[in-house]
Amino acid sequence: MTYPLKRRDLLKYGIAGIGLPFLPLRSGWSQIQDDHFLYMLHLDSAADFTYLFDARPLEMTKNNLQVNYMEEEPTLWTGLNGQSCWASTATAPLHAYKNDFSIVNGVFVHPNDIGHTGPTDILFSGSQFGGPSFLPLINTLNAKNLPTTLDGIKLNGRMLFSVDRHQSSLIELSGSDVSSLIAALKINPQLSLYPDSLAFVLQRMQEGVLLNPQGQWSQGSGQLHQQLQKASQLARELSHLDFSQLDTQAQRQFLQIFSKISEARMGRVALEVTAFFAGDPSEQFFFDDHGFPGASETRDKYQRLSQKIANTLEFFKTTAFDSQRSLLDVTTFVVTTEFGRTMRQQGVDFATSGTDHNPLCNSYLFAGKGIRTGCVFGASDFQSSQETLSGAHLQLDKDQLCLMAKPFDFTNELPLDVLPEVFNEDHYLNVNSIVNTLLRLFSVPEEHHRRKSTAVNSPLYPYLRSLLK
Amino acid sequence: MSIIALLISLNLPWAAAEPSKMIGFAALEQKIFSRVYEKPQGELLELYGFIVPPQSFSQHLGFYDNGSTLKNAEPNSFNMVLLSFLMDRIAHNLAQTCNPNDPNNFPPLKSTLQKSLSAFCDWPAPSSLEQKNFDQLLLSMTVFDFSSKEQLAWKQHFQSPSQFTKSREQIIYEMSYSLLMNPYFLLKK
Repeated sequence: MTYPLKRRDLLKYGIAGIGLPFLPLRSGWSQIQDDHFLYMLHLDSAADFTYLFDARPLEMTKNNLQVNYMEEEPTLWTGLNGQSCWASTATAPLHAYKNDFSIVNGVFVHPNDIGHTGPTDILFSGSQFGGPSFLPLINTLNAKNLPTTLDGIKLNGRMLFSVDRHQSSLIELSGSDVSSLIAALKINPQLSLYPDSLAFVLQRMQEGVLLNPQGQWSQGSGQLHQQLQKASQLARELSHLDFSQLDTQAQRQFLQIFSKISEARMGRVALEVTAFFAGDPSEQFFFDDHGFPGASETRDKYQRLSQKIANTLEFFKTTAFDSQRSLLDVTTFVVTTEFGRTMRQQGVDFATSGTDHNPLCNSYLFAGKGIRTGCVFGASDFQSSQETLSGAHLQLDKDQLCLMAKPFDFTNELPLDVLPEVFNEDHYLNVNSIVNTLLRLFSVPEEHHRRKSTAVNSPLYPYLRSLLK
Repeated sequence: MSIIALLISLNLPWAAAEPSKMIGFAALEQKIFSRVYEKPQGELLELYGFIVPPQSFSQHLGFYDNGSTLKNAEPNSFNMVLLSFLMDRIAHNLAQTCNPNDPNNFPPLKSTLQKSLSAFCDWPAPSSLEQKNFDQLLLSMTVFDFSSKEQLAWKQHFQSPSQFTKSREQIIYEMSYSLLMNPYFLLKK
């Protein structure tokens, strides 16, 4: 693919958004991009992947090791790469899409239970104390893409277990928000009645930046300046959209908005967070089952979740992006959650046990553009009640409540059947590698990839090469 | 304080200085109803009638979650569209000051602001160019929020001869819009 926008043009239009209002709209805009979008579904409150694609046989339940309210034997799920996992019967809605996504199991999050916020922060920012999200990096100027006017959009942005600090540049949009605004912008897409006044406002914002460039107020003024410039372009782009036929169901509506915004190349990222409280009960998910969750509720929840993921894949497959490509052809779809769950609770009657936090193991699903699909990567231990656990496992989980990621061979990208005596985080696939895989996929420059320490030359967390096409 | 100093010294990402946020919708609304308009009686969410999309304004322009954390107050392209839209409408309304009989749906202007704006109705006649008119409008709209340097820059801009060809409606619009969209009006200090 060639990119008609030359370096000279970049200088003319200005990088970092300075000249975005003058970038050509529509056809010119589309020609300069390798269309690639990210849709991330985050299962807030820590979903239990043993009810999805890291299940365990019922003998674990008979031996009082793992509560299993599905009460059905899982089936072996073997990927096109020859790696396997156990799939719970709740995953039935996804069987028809087996070759459309890949499973990554056995991902280490943190040696200790640091609550929900810490792992969510690690996922989005790379630090358990939080910080800027990696998602806007997808919209960074790089070899293939020019920044879009929206970093991204989100649905249900107010995660209960994480502050919203990761997501400020992702915009929560509902159909009603955008529809009424678009109607007004169609009448007049100008931000100001007189261009002179907008130019003067931008000049004052720019002047504010110079007051004390390292100061918070100057930086805030700089953000106002940068975003107001983008807003002129965004207003024009919004005025061209038609949101009159949106579905009333929240997730489907959000998918439709994502589709339209992607088609118009206005944004590159969408983050959907599952909701604890939703107008539509089928869209309501609470995974943090510390108490007895109830067998039927558990079955219903994970079947609905599988159906939701299947519906999302179906939407991407059947929605045309253009005359030749589906939305799935241009979108990478990822399913994430904070961490896994323990197999049972300590000191609780097994018959009515819930599950606690398990940061020693997590799972992810990947589909769409750039992903080698139909495969299984990574694995967790404790596959049977007879399995001998490693010293490293017992070091972090002396009560044997958890599954733990298996050590990972980063050269061959396969889980290792070894039993290390002592835990060493470098020997495990972890969440930072998952994020670096996404950053690599989107050609985000390495300077933004996650490193093993804050030292400048610290090694990067290795990305999962075999997950990418 | 010592904990904060320690965290900063550890160079943790969230301990680093972050850009100043916008003041949030509630504070913005309060500013507008203390400086621009008389607050309508019996209205709970007064500004909502001014702009589309009404229901999302507080969410997109910054709101206090659990009463303590200001969220969504970082400038982004979408909230800048909404903000510009709101300020454009207000500035457009203020620009009608010299035509008081034109119907509109806005609340009545603060009397001090009305008087300040009326001084520009004969723009660019010499009487409207008097220094005190600019000072009075600045005082009405900014209430000493702006730095003296910022006030001076604003006055120099609108007192320059290139402005004298503009109509009274345009000059009142531009003066108002530029004050409402100024970082000193929008950002937390």
